[in-house]
Amino acid sequence: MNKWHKIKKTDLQKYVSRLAEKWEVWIPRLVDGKWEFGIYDGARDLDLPESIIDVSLKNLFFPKRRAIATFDENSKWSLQPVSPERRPRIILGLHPCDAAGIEYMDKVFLQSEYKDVMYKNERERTILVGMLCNKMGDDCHCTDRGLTPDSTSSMDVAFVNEGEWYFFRSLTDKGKRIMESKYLKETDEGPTKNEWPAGKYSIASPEEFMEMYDDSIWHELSDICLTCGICTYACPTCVCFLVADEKFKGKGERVTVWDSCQLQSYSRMAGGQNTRKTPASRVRNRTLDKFAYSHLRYGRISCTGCGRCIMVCPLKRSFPQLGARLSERIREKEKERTKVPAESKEE
Amino acid sequence: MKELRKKIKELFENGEVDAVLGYREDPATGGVKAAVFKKDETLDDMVFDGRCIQNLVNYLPTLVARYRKVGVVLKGCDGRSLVTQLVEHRISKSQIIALGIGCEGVEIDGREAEKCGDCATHMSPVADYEFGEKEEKKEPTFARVEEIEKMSPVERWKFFADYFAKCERCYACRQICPSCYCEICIADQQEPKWIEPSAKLSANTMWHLIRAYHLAGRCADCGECERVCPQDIPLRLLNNALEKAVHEMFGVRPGTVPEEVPPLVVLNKDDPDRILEGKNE
Amino acid sequence: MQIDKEPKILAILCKWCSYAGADLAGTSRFAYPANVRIIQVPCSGRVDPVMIFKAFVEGYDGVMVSGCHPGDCHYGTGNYHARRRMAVARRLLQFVGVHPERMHFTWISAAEGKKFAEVCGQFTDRLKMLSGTERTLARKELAT
Repeated sequence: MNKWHKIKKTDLQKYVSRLAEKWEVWIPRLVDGKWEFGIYDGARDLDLPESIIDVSLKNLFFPKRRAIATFDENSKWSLQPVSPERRPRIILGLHPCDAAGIEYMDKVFLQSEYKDVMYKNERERTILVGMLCNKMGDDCHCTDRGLTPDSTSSMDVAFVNEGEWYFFRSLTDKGKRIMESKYLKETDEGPTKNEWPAGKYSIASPEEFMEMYDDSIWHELSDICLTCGICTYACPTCVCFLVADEKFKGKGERVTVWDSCQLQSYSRMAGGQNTRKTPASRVRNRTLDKFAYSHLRYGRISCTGCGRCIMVCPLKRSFPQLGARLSERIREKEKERTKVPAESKEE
Repeated sequence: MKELRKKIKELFENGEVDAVLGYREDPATGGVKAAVFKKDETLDDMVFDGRCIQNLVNYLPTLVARYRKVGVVLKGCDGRSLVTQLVEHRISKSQIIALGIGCEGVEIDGREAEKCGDCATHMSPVADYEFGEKEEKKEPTFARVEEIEKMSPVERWKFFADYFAKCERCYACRQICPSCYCEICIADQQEPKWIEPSAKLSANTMWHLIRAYHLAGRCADCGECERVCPQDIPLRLLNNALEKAVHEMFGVRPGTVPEEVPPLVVLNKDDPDRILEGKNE
Repeated sequence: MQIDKEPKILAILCKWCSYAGADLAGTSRFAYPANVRIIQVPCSGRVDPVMIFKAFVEGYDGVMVSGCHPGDCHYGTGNYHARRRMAVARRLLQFVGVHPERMHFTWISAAEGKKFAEVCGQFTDRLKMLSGTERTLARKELAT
């Protein structure tokens, strides 16, 4: 285990400025009242949120719209691969749920049969410097999803905000590269460990979820859902995309664009058939994808408990609450099932 | 509220309605949520107050398919929405019992909603039963639209481009709109592909222009699109601009007069040619 | 930003009157600017404002729509519908910042070859008066 290094809070800005000379440094910033990641330019004082960052960093690895190839008139419309961005970068101040989201995206894009080279490149050029949360936000429920606000998996460097100090510790060889600085001093002390309360939305197991596939409860769960796509866009682990060719005045790009299973057009096939025409079937797809399919395919449920879907929902509906309601229903069903044989025995 | 509950109970007992669409207290969030009340269900947690901003008309088409007769709690603006649905024959009035409530304004995050400041219909234009105060009608001022109209074209485009660029194309505005009900939305249409799927300025501009245009003369200004927009794009502004234009050119204010046909589906041989020049006088 | 001095104009013309009018302009050897690209539609009632929006977004400087004179529509009433639609589309485009001079809606009959040439000439001249920044919405910023 690498040793802790501490840095005075007032020195952090200087340290980051120094890093920014060599690297592209991304930090959370407040834009229109929302925290989102942006490139550090030294124009503003560094301020790091203690809890959830409103906009997930999915966009930094798997952008909303990314060109994968270009074509133009001169090349007779043949596809030219896009040259990837190589400049090394640091993402500083991400939280454990963000790191967990990246861990899941790695599984999808890098550890499956088909590897996404663009994603791989983004991943390789990035050092993740995670900040452990000091508190849990209103909608946070990572403790229900096998994480805690101080989990460090997938991070290259982790740091803790405590009193007047930040405690840094490198976790990978990649992370060591940014630890040599006059501002960081090795220390034998370490941050204190926190106790975290359990979240509000505990859920049943993936196998139990799968058994609910044909249940009538989906109609109840989707009753007022608008089936807009915003929860999937805000989600750090929703990675569906579609491929489109876009042309503008003599040149064009082949792009991947985020898609959402909540939209009706998502499952529409040639000839107009649609396998998920009702809101209930679309809500079922997303719920089961988060809590069951992902587990069956990648060995881990894909909900990280960040709570962004609750924050963005136009109707302020809670997706995890929906999972919790479903689990409740599973338990009810279980009870009914165990009851029946007992009664039949008496007869 | 008491009267409303009493009336609903009465309607259930007489078998006049099978379900009532209203607002229910939601203890989990401290807000209210849309809910369907059925016979023999308690009405105690039914509410109507400033938090009841959601337009319920959007849920009606699915409900009338399921129930013979549906009661619906309507604010003034929702009533206008209902009228637009009735004139387009999406819902038949024979299946609806409209419970109009004299609305004193609704709020977003504890502050009065912007649409309420300019509200001209406190009571639903269609109501089988009316509850509460009925305020006097007045003309909307379109102050926000006029502010934009004072700007030069370049300023206007800058104003809107900044917003359009932010759009994520989640289509919440489309999904919540009672008047957006195409079987296949033009944004989802594959051939011809008028609107590219990616969230970039040009495609977003197409989407917002088309959305606004398709609602011209049909939008009843319930303001739900703007409320649900996660990027706070002033969608109501576009709708209002066209509402104003349609009123100036054709003298129609959508949703205020029951049975009035949307102006863009009918023709009038006497329309003056000057409207093509963008002039009113 | 570099802009083309010569504005590009899209003219959407109805098959029965305006397109025939353009034809007549050609056969009568009336000169009209080469800035105009013509699309023929069966009737001005066929013109969906979506086409106009798309033309601006794709980079046209001006869009012109023309059909039969009121009362002369081959299909009876197509141009009355078109008049309402175009009027609303114009108001919307103007509202989001498209310069009013960049749209032109008019009636040209099959006999009015001269009028077609004049309208095209005047429209082109008016567009040339606009500066590059005033031709919003057709700019490079829309490429991505």
